[in-house]
Amino acid sequence: MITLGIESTAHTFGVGVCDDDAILSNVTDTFRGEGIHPRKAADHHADVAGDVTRRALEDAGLCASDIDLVSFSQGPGLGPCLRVGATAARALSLRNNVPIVGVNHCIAHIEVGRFLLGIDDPVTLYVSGGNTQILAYAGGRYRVFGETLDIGIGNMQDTFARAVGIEFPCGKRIDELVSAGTTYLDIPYTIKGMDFSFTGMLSEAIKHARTHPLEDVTYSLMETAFSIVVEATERAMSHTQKRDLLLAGGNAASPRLREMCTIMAQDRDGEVHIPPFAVCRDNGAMIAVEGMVEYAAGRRMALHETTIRQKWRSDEVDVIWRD
Amino acid sequence: MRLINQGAEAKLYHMTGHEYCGVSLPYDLVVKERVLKRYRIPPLDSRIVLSRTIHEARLLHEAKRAGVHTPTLFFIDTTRHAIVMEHIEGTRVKEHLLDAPRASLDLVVRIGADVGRLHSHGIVHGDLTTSNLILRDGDVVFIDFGLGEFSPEIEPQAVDLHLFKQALTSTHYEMTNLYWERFLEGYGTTMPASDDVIERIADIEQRGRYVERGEQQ
Repeated sequence: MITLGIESTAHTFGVGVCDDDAILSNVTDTFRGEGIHPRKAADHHADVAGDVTRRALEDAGLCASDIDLVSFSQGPGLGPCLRVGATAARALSLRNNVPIVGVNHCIAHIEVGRFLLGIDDPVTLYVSGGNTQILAYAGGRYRVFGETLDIGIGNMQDTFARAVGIEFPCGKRIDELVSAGTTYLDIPYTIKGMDFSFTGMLSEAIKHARTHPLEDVTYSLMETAFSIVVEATERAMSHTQKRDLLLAGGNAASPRLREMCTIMAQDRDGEVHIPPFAVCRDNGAMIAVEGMVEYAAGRRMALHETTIRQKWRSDEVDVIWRD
Repeated sequence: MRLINQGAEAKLYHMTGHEYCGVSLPYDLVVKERVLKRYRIPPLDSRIVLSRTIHEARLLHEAKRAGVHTPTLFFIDTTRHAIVMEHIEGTRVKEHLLDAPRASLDLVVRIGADVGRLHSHGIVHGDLTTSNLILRDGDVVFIDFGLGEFSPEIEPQAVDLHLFKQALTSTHYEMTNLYWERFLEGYGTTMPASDDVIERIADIEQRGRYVERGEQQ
């Protein structure tokens, strides 16, 4: 079954194609601006949608009539952005007369890791701009075991970068600063059980930046933020008694976060699994995989059920494709 | 020194030698040593581990002052980030309730009253389960304040009760309703703001995290 998946929850518009065994193509085009202006990002998506879709089909060596199923990110995400993806998906589905399935973006991050790496039952640490959560399967749902109570870790990183004058996109530069820092400055460590928060440490780091070298501030901020999510993840692994850890989301690219997860897993006799970055970040291939898996398990959607769901939580989805 | 429990947070040792750092005591001791985390950089790790050790010791002490039985605290060992306290010899309330479900209703009322004492003094236990309560000579002793906090606010206190209710539901499922009723009865006798806290539990249960789809309003 050839599935085409469309991603458009935030600043990335992506289209990916997969069949039962593999990802055949995965093309993304990301809106570049300081932060995300939802309407501008949506305009960007509408501009590139046709081209990205064509390139994804081309890379897969297919044409539109080969598609058996269309899937799209139905939520959670920014309304204007989601609507572009949903509209494109409906158009493709109607024109080619193939079924359409809307999927949950967060869950797609998990399923693509399971699909590619063959992990049966991981705890997932999902770290991105908008989302930072720890998910695991229990009793028919992907339960949220821990999550940020305010902003995502990537959002914190971007806001910090903007405040101290680091150019967007800031990921590489932040990684460099983290490895160059030597002195740890006091940063609030906010964790309650398995939930955590980032805005307090963000303000403190911006304050420190006025009087301390930038590499020390960045190092202290990111060491603290990563330690918190790794600690919460360890608690979730201990609580659920699962030994595999799956990393997902754009911030999974951070070498230091990967290192910390690896050490934590080693010390509790577990294992870390990190999919290639192209499927860790927001992308269409994971949406294709999720759509295919759900369709195969019997998920069907009428057109009127494909309206977007901006605040759709992962634990609201009936996981009909696992037992 | 015998290792009796190893968790992600701490290791628990039972000491029968009655001596710690050269000081002799006429009691069996428990040493709760917090585990260092290799994934954290040392300056951050030692700051966190030390502050949690001291925080937990404070909670144990304040709980006792509020009139609730807790292990007596002997030392805080900052070099080993360990709390040294009295060993509690007894049966866990969990086993006691499972063995004699009907005969233990008064005990549940007393547990509720003790939790009310903690809350009225602004102490939140953070991990209220029947495994963290030990019955010794008829007294209920509260252990493991590792996830506790000082807070006079309704929200964390309601979460505390909610967690206890969940513990009843998962472990004492045949008696949950009866126990819960009796627990609240006891709680109301010692906690002046009990109505507000109990009312908040309903809110917490309605939040997405805790309800199945379809039950949501």
